[in-house]
Amino acid sequence: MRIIDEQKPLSRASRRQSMSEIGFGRMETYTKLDKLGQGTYATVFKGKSRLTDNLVALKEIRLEHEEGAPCTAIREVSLLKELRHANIVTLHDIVHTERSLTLVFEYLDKDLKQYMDDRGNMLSMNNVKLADFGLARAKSVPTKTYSNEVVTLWYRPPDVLLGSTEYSTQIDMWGVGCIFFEMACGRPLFPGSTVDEELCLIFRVLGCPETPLPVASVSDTLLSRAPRLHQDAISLLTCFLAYEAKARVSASDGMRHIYFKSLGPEVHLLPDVASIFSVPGIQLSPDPSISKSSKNRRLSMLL
Amino acid sequence: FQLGYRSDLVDWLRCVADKYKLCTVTVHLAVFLMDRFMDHHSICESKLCAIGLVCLLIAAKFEERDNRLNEVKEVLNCNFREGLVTLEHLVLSWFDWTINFPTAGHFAEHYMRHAVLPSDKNPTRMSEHGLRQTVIGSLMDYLNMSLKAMPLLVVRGSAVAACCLLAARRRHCLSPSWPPPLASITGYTRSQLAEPLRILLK
Repeated sequence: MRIIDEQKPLSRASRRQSMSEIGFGRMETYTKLDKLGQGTYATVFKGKSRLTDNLVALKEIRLEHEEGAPCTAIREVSLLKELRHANIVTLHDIVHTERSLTLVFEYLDKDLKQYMDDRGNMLSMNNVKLADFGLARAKSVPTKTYSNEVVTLWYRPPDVLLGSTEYSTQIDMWGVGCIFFEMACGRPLFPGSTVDEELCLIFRVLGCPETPLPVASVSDTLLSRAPRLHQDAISLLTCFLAYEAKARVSASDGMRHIYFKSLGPEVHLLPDVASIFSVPGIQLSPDPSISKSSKNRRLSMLL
Repeated sequence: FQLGYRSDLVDWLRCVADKYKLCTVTVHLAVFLMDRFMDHHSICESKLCAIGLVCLLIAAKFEERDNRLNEVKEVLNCNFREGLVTLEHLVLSWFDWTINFPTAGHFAEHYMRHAVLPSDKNPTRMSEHGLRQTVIGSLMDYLNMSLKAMPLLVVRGSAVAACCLLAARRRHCLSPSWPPPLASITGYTRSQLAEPLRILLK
């Protein structure tokens, strides 16, 4: 093993120079079209790149003169730069001026809700992509503590709701479970509007943290709320919705769950940047379930 | 010539970080960014502190807990704020906004949980908890020392953190000083750490 890194000369500056000559990093390269949405820290516009004629999403962040680049932007950009994945939105460019910072993303024409509403004409093989990493943190070790105001309330796990600030990747696995349910049913699992209400909704399904309900009864409740999910899906869902963070299934173990078995072994060999639809035999199809006979068919992606 | 100022700059950054109670990973990332940046720029003496400070701010914005960021803003307000925003712009774009580098500080946070193992022979009269805290304290001291040992700049952060842990365990006479679980957690054998350890303790 080498533990001495060779010093290699960086060509970063010269590379950027040539990128800039063709128009990257400059606002003139992009035409602003309609406004798509406004958040507390940014406004998102639909736009068009004059370099490629492609549609882009422009996330415009206003800069407070005395504070420089906001921490959310620093985290979002530097984390996204290292992520290249078929299911993660691509950051094409950054335009940094004195008054604003604009992140140029690939344009996604629907959010998840609209995507699911359009299931009817599902023949297009669009990938679902993750976007908006403004609240993302680098994967870290559990010793480090953050504020407990993380994660959108509906997807926040009970340990964090109850004040825990020691967490790691397991915090996201609870959210994965909530969204899995939501994608299958078209409505959120725990749509609380306050922390107390959120906890109440969770307790109603899982029981109190001190006296949690047995898995079988949790499964029954979930099944009655999500009749479209079959046994394997419910079993996976209960693996995500564990009170104790440590007991939640990890992402890589989750992918080996029997629920995904019908996708075949090829999906585990898929390179990061390849779409799941590049695996032969996998395609979106109208949900065949309701009738329970569908278990051995290629899994319909319940999107 | 900037290298001559490095040691003072690192000390000064640590003082600023201590004053505002910024965490170890922030300081290590800041020093890492500063070293990288200075390797490729010649900076006049009067601007060196400002560059160091900007690196500290960027690192803090990335690493610190959100509820600590007000303190970070305070650092900014107390120190020549004019021009600092421009400098931050310059540094961020030079790094092309890619600033999440794992440093010795990050690896140390991870190794810390294994600072004392259940199998260790405890030669002191301290409780297990007390011993743990003491070893972690020494680990932090060595980690701080490592920031100033320039020959360690070319050694991987994970190896620097591992040799700081080894030094801390040796100092408190834990035996064996580098048992197999630690070699497997860190990925370094005792003999691979010999050279960085020698540099650290020099």
